[in-house]
Amino acid sequence: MAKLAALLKHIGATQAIFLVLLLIPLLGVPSYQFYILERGLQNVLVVLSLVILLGYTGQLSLGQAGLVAVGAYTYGILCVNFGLSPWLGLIAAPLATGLVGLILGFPSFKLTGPFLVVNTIAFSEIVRILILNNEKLTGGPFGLNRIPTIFDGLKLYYFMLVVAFLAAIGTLRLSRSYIGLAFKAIREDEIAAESMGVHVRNFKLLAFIISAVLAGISGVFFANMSGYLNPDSFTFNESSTYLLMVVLGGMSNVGGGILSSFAVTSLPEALRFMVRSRMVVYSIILLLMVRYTKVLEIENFKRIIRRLWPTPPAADRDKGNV
Amino acid sequence: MSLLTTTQVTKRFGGIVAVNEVDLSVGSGQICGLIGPNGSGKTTLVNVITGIYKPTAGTVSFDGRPIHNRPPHEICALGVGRTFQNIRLLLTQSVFDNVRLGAHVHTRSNLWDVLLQTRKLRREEKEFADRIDDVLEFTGLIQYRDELAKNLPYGRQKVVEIARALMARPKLLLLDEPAAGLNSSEKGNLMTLLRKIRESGVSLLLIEHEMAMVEALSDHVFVLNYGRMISQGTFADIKKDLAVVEAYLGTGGSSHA
Repeated sequence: MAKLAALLKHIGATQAIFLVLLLIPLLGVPSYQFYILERGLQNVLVVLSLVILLGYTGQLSLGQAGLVAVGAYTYGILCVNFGLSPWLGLIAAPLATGLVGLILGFPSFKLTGPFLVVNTIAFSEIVRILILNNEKLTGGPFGLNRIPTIFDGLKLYYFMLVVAFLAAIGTLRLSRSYIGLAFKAIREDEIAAESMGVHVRNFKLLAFIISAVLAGISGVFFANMSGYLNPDSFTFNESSTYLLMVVLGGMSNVGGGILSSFAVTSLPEALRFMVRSRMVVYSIILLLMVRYTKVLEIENFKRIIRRLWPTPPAADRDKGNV
Repeated sequence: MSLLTTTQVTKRFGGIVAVNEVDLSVGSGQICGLIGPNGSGKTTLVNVITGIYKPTAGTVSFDGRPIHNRPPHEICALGVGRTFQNIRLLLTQSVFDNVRLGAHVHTRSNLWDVLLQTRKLRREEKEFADRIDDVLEFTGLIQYRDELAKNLPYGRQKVVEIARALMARPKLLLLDEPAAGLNSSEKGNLMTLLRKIRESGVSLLLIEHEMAMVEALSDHVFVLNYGRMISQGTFADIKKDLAVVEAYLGTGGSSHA
C-alpha cells in the first residue's frame, strides 16, 4: 500500500485516475453502471474544455452544451444524411465545432463577466432551436436515428479513454507552457497581459477554439454512445452541470475536474433508489459540495495520502538512493 | 539621439483634457524623470505611450518608428517595457512564472511544440529558465524564485514587476512610481537597481513623487500640471522654476489672505 502511495506521488494524479479507469472494466461492471462510466468519460472532455476556457483564461461560458450539440449533430448529420464514414465524421465534427468556437470567441473582446455569460447562453439556445426547427436535416424534435458508430461497447470505452487521456495530458502541458501562462495572465489582468506582449485577442480566440474542439469531440462520443440524438440532451441544464463539475474540481485543476465529472455524473444515478426525493437529495449534496468548495480538488487527496503515508525525512531518502 | 519622442500628444476623456499637447523626448541611455502633482496626467501619458490609450491628437515615435497606432503587445515587442503604479502581477503564480511572462514576446515555439513537447520547446524553455535566473539574480530576487507572487512583501512585488519588464529585453523602461510605499532601505536598493539597469543599456522614464530619487537619478526632468508640460530641464533648473513651485505649493496665497 505504501508502495502504491509512492507510485501515486510519482506519476501524478491525472495519470493515476486514468490508470484506474483503464482497470475498472476488467472488474466486470454491469451494463448500466458501465454506461454511467462512459457518460462520465464523455463529460471529462467538456470539463477539460471548461478548465481551459474558464479555469485558465477566465472566460465563463454557460453554452458548452451548445458546442457539444454542434459536435454531435455535425457528426450525426454527416454520417446519416451524407453517408460519410464515422472516422471522417470524427475528424470533421471537432473542426466544425472549432470554427463555431472561433465565432463564439469574438464577442469576448468587448464582453466580460455576466455579459459574456449571457452571450454564451444565447448561443447555446440558438443552436438548440436551430436543431429543433431544421427537421429535414436534424430530425427536429423526433431526433436523429441510426447513427453509425466508430466502435461499440468496450472498444468504444477504451477509444474514448485514450482520447480523453491525450486531451488531459495536452491540457496539463498547455497549463505548464507559455500559452497557459498567457491564458492565466488574461484571467488575472488583461492590461498587464497586453503590456507584457500577450496578443490578448488571439489568445482568447485560441482558448475558445481549443475549448470548442474538446466539446465537439465529446459530442461525437455522445452520438456514438447512444446512436441517437435529440435536442433535449443539450439544454441549459447540461451547460450548468458542466460548470458545476469544473467549479467542484477546483476550476483550473485537471485531475479534480476529471474526478468531479465522474462524481457529478454518477451522483443522480446512485440516488435513484430514493425515487421521489432523489432530486432534492441530489441538490442538497451539490449545495454542500459547493459550500465546502473544491472538495474534489486533487490537493485534498494528496493531503490525505501524505497524512496516511508521510514521506520519510530527507536523510533516509538519500540512504535509500545510494 | 532620441529614443522616445512624443509630439503634441493630447488625450481627452470626454470634456477632460488629461494630457494636453505634450512634447517629451527620452534619449538613449538617459534616465528621465516625469513629475507633477497628483492628477497631472503622468500615468495617462505612460498609458498613451504604451498603447493602452490611443492619443486624441499628436504622435508618439519610438526608435524612429511611429507607435501611437499600435496595440500594446506590439509596442512591448518593439522594446518598451513598463511597470504599474498599482501592482499588476499574476498573484497566484510563482515569481518565476511572472518573470517568464516577460519573455512572452521572445517565444518562438507554437501550440504544436507545446502539445508534443518538442525538442525546440524544451531547448527554448531551458534558455528562458537560465535567463530568468540571471534576471532574478540581477534584481536580487533569486531567493523568492519559486514563491507565489502574493506571498512577497509589497516592496519585493514592485521589484518583480521590474524583473518581468526586464525579461522582455526592453530598450526603454517606463516606471510608474516604483518607490511609492517602499521603506528607506528598499528605496536605496531600488536606486542602486535603477542605476544598474541604466548601465546595462536601458533608458528609463521615471514617474516619481520621491524628489530625492528624481534628483539623484535623472539626467532630465519633465514637469506636468493639469496635463500640460509646464517645465523641463535638469533637476536644478526645474527646482528654481517658479511655475513648478506654484504647481506644487500654489501661488503666494494673497487672494485668500
